[in-house]
Amino acid sequence: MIEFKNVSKTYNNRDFVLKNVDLHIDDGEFVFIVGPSGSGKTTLTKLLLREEKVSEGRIVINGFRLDKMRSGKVPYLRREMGVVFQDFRLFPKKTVYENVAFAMQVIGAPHSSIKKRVPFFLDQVGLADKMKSFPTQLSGGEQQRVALARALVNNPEIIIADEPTGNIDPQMSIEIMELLVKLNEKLGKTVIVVTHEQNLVDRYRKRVITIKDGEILNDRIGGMFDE
Amino acid sequence: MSRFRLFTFIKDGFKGVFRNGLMSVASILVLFSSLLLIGIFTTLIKNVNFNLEKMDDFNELVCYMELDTDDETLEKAEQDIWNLDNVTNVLFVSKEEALEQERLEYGEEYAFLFDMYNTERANPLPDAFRIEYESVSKLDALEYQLEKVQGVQHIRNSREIAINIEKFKNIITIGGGWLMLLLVVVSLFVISNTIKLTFHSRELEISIMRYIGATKFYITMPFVVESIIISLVASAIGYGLQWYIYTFLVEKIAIEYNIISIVPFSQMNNLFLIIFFGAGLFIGVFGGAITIRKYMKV
Repeated sequence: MIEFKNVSKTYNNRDFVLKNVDLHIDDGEFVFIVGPSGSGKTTLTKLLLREEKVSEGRIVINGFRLDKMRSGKVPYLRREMGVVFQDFRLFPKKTVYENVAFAMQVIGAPHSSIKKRVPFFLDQVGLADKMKSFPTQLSGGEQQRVALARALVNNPEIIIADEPTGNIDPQMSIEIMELLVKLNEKLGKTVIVVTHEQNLVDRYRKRVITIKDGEILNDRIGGMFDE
Repeated sequence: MSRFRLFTFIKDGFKGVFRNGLMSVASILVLFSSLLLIGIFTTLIKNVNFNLEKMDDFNELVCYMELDTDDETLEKAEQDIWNLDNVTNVLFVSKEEALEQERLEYGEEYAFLFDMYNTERANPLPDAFRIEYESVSKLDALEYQLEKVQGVQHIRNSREIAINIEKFKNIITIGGGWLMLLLVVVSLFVISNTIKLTFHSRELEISIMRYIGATKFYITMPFVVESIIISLVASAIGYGLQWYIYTFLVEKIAIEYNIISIVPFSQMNNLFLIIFFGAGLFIGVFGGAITIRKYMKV
């Protein structure tokens, strides 16, 4: 469960990037967050990841109070979430297998578990035959699928995808979106997709939260892209 | 921390050293140069002090007694002098011994001049006490107290020389200390910059680690291990070079030309080990850690 209560974010105590945002996302929901550039989407994502602290208000994610959280606890919050970025953020000098395995090594997972889970999740995203390849040898869509496998491998409850289709072609974009929808419908993961791609939002008819000038303009279930 | 993790940190630390080849070499060179300079200055301070301390004569004064002082007064005066603060040694020089010393100094050629004092004339030299003292800063108080001792007629000291030696020792010690501190600060700055560059070159890696829930400890450890490796290598090279320079060059020159006394390397070995490995590790690890902490915004 994700809850924003009267959340505001300012930089240097002057300009409001987010203003009095109230938001509630239940477990297992699929949510698109849309809005024009500079609307506050990125800040909202940063707040979710506790990359930034709120200026006012309260954020609760799976029992973690982000507004009161000490920095030492942040890694444990992030283990509750799998994150996918527009630029994939893969280690170029690690193989596909190593990139995914790294996410498990970081949290101290046992070697035996890594050996079992990594091939399983690479198979789930359709990359079982690319385990020994390096990211530079893959297409944009394939790289994003590696990032998705990495986000999933630690079995997080929440998947945050920040412009996941921004760097890949339309066909691959749909494949990535299909994977995200499958994760939501089959495994009950909460999926939050931050995007500005209207055709994708309109295609899936999920909950759409529109942000403009730091405020929630619309919040519609089964909605369409609406700027 | 499991053994596997420790092994991973060490492996990553070594990888980091090799991956940042040139930067690592630069750090090692800077750190080892600073350590070597610190070592050389320590050597210099130690040796200057060692040689200055040997100049004990300057921490000495001579207390001349009145010509007609009797034995009883002399005995009491010696006892009184021994009881004074700051006095480390008292040596009685009788008027006969003083005359003999003068005679020896002038040589056989002038011996006849002194012979008459044994027969025709009374010895004109007074009995005296050669007094060694500890601190030149308490010399005024000592002189004041000596003047009050019964039978004392005149005091002669090497105050100017003693004060200058003390000043010189202080300048060398304090100046050297400041210089070493400066070198430590410069080394910290350079190591910090190197780690900063390493950090920036691995920004992507670190950002990925942060997003997938790596703790600060997990992210920081490879950098710390990298700093330790760099420091140990720099320390070992610095220590080796210091040993070579000192043993083969300085000691050899000193023995050959017999200019000054040199403290043997073995006597300073523990100090050098502390300087090179202790200070080296401190500079490397502290320099690395503060930089990492500063750039590890969550």
